[in-house]
Amino acid sequence: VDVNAGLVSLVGKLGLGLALAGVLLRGHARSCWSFAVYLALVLGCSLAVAAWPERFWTGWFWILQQAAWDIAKLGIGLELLARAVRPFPGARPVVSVYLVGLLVLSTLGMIFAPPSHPHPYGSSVVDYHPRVLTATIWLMTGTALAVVWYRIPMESFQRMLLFTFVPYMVVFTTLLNLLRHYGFAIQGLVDAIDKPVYVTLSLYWAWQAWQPREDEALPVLLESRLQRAG
Amino acid sequence: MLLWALPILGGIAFLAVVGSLHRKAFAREWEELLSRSGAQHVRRLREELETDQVLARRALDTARAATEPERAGALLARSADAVDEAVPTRVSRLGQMAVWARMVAALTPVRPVQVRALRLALTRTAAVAGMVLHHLAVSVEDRFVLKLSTLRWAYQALGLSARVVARDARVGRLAWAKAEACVEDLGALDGEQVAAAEQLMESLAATERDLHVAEERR
Repeated sequence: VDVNAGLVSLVGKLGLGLALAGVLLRGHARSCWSFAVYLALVLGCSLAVAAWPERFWTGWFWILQQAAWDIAKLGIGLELLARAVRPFPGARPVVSVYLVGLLVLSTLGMIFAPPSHPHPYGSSVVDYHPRVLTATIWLMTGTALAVVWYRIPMESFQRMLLFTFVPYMVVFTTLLNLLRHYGFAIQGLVDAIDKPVYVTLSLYWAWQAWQPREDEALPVLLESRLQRAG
Repeated sequence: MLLWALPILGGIAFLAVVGSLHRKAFAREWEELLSRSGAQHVRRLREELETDQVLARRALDTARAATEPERAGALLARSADAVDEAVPTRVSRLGQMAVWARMVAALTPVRPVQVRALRLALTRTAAVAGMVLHHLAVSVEDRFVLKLSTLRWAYQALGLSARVVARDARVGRLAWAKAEACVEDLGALDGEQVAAAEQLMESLAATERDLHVAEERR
């Protein structure tokens, strides 16, 4: 089992490394810088844990890395939304209202919902982590909604990020909710589902990241119209 | 419970919209919208709408002039049928205009559908509902989309009334006043639709200039 787990972990790191290299070398980072930051964070933390387990295989580091990854995911959501609506002055106010509402509700949810676990590590895993992920899911869903509503021609790579992050986060949040409900006794089951899914995802990102970046400029008429609109 | 439901609902909402996320299709829609010549488009629309009005009006006038009740009934039914058949294309066109309205970044101020110009109770009711909602809508875009929806409701109400007139006429009950109101309301609603199209095109007033800019850049 350990050999298999080690292999899965190694393939995952390889996928993340290839994805990061592809994103930087193929220029996809220009479509979403936060994604490159996210990949670097995940890869860096995973390598640190693998290289110095006695130092980093701890509860405090887990909380720290998850917080960093959650912030990076939130950053991806915000960057995708901002890049999508930035050129469209009519869409910006509506999206801002949605964004402010979402952030206020998420913050209230974080502050006022009582923790279900007495230990900070447990509470971080089963309480705060799913809440941040839920906010990110709704942020990305809002982005998809705005893109469809205003017919915004979104870049393929950005679309791919929405396509992969949202379903993964729904699965992962559901697994964390199961963990909260049934306790840490089912952590092995959660890992057995989550890790292969994440490794598959990292390999898919690597494949996508090495695809050549297409010229996806806005239609000429739209661009000139947007320039006039300011 | 909320912690379970919210991410799953988010995922479902995402799946519901993500199927419509087509970059190329959206880019094509923008090209199509922005490359239209506004004045030419409105003129063509007006001509298309007027053709149906003329057909309905002519059948109604001929029915009025007919001396035999049976022939009058058949012609009156034809006039009402013409009104009814004109409705679906108008409703679908308004749907497309609603999409364009969302795509247009800045629109000129919008006025609601005018109730005074309408005669049928059903179309007036639709227009009054639209007017009430108009004052509750916040943004210009919302008001414009609402106006298009009001027009759609009014057209559907008109189709319903016209079907009733046609059905009655076929069994000998000739509702002249109602048929007249149907034809007049078709004209009034078409006028509103042309005005809405003009408004949409006004917001793209610089389209011609954009075309030249684009050609120069190419």
